[in-house]
Amino acid sequence: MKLIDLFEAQERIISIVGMAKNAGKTVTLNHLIESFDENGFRVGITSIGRDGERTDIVTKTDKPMIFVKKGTLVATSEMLFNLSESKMEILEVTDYQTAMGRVIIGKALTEGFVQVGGPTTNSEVRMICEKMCAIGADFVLVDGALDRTSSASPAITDACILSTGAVISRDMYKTVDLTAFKASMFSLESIDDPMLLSAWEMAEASGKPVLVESDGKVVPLSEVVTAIGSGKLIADQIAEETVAVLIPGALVTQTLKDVISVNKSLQWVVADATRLFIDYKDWLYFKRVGLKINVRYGMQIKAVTANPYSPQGYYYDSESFVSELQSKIVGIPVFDVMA
Amino acid sequence: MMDFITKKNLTDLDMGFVLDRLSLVSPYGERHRRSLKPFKSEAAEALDREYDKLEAMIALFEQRRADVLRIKEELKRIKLLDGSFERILQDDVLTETELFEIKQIARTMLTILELQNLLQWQNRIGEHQLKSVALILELLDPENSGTQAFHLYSAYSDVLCEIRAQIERADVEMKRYKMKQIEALADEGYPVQPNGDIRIKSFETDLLDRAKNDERLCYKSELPLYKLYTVKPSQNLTQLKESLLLKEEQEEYEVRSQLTKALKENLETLTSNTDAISWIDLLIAKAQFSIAFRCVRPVLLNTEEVVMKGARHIKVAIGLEKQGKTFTPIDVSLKNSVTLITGANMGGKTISLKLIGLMISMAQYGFFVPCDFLSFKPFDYIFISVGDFQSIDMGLSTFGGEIVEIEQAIKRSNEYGLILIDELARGTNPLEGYAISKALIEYLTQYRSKAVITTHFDGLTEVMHTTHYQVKGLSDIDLSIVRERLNQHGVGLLHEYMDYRLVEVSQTKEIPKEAIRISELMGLNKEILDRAKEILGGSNDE
Repeated sequence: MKLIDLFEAQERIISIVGMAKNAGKTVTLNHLIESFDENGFRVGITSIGRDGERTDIVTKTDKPMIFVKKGTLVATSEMLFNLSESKMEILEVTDYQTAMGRVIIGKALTEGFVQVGGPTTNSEVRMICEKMCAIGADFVLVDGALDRTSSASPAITDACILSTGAVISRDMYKTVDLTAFKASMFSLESIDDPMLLSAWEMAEASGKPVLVESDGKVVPLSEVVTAIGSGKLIADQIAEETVAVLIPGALVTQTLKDVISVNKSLQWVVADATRLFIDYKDWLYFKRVGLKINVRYGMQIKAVTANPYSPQGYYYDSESFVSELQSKIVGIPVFDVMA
Repeated sequence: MMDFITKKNLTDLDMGFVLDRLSLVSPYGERHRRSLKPFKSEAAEALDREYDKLEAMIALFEQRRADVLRIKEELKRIKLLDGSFERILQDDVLTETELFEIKQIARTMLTILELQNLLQWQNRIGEHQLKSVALILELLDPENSGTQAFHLYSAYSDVLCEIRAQIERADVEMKRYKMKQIEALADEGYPVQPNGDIRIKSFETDLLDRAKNDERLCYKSELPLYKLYTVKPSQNLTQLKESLLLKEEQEEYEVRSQLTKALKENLETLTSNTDAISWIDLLIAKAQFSIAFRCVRPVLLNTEEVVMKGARHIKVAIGLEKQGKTFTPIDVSLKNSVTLITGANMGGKTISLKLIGLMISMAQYGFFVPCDFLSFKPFDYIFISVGDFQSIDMGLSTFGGEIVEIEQAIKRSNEYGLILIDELARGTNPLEGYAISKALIEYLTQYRSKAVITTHFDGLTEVMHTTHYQVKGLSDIDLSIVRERLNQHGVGLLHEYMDYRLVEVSQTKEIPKEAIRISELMGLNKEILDRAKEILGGSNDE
């Protein structure tokens, strides 16, 4: 099976998020652009924040630029637009400001390399993607920058691809474990209990955490503005009848720990996996104690791409890397994009 | 030449509230709002024409609402391009993005112009019809594609066209050269891939040596298990292409420079259109405002008189509406030089005073007014003294600050002004305050300007040639019913029994003793009340 075969018409906006820099995100992006082009689809490209530079600004390693085909739509900042090697036609100058000028939507008249630096906020990225779809893109690819896994949020994109690579650790098994952990967070199931769904609407409207009791009664938490650092406050208000905690904002490890010390059997719900800030070790602990976490908006993780080479010079055996990943990540296909 | 009105007075009159309610959608309209100028007395004819225009716009809006709103939708697409216009004027060379934006604004102008024609704008409104942008569009759409997109089209220059054809040929040749090399290399046993990459495993040292010394190959990158070589492009072709790209860039600059020059010849069209757009935006917004707040066209007079009927203070009215209450419209006529408004505290005297000023300033800024009727002759200036203006900088007391401003206003005695003064000399001792107020009123009666003064001093109304209005207050109400209601629901309801209307009364009528009535209502000891009435009666006998 090929990577491109996974895409369906209803998921038009796809983000590519990396576990780390140099995990092979740009290679995946170029691979997808080429495959879409070969299959007769028009593709649009943008990023959240700056990306696509020749040299990676953070780690100073060589990095492939994004190579676009004739007809590809590109949304990038004014300054980078003028640096593109591909000859571009201007389709729209948007009002979205970046540090490098306004975001311009262009169409490639010739093939060549481009630099992509899209809008800086999630909602602007979504608007730009929708504009490109309206102009005629069949699919839009969003290059997520470092630490911007938020672009994978279902509020921004319809589906995502997770890029992982040897850069994460010299120990292949550690890389596999960390990737599997991220993938399992991204594939957390969404709630379908009508009682929780209606309670979620209240939590989302108020922007504040709520508790749900066994008979469906919704108890808004008093004095809790966000869930960060408010675990003890939540713990204090948990009653015998409480069955679920709904958090419309971010959920961090400490909050969970504070509440678990009081009650281990609660059902937790967050908006989506990008709102969870829990590291691997804590995740293992929470799983051991049987913590139940679900999301309101499920994410479509389409594939995991693996890069067995690290810019530090070491590498894994491609075949065993892919097969190890595949054995730990059930139901999501893994591809080696460097092969 | 003195100002028509100071910024501070505009704020005192809540003109900002009115302006904020104009829904302007283009940056040019927005700028127009910020620089809006009043029509002064000498511009009465122009003001009347402005009313004609607004009246026509309101009629057009009511008949062709959907089409007018389509113009408004187009106005939203207008961007502020004055920077680029300035660069054209300075003979700078515009960038591709700037040329795109000019094409876009010209396309929007064309749509607005078409909608104007559809609405017979020129016939009906008479002004602000956009000029044709056909020449500009022709310039920026040389292939007549009719799309919004823009790039430096080959059609602009034969040279550019030729260079681009050469680049294309060079690309084809480079590809052909590469294919030939790939074929040759494959024949010689190199593991060459269709894209020209040759991947040699690290242990194949013979092959690596061969590749290293092969002039047709160049080193690409090294991965841990293998080295990557690729077909070296022909040096001649690469140099050719680079020189062509350089030429293309130079020719593109030439094209942009020519385009900018050509646009300079059409710059007047663009700037006069953006000016017209600022007017169209403002006019539609004013029409919407007039409809929303049920405004009427003011009638301009040649005689120095103001007649206002059913005037509503929209800011106060909106505030009251939120509490489920309604604003009592005010009728007032300014016939004499001085008009006095008297009445109980919390009787709405200050609101009435501000309302008079707001109606006149709206009218002179070219708005229709939220009244049933308004006739007036345009003033040379408006002045209002209201609230406290203790000036910390100058260390003046409240009263001093008041006097400085009033002096400024009455100094303009040869002009026709509207002078509004709230509770003159309220900060001083009553005897002196009364004397100064009376002297000022006597002084003002000799001039053309219209002064409206609110006061609670008895006796001021006796000055000759003044008009006297009273807030109706509680006078007509059966006190026993009110008392019962107030006992049940609290004093907060008192204002519900207040009649805020102004009634013209004879000059000598004394100010009603509302304080006594309210004390009575609230159940003050009867002995005290009787004594108070006795004292008042005594003072009146003096």
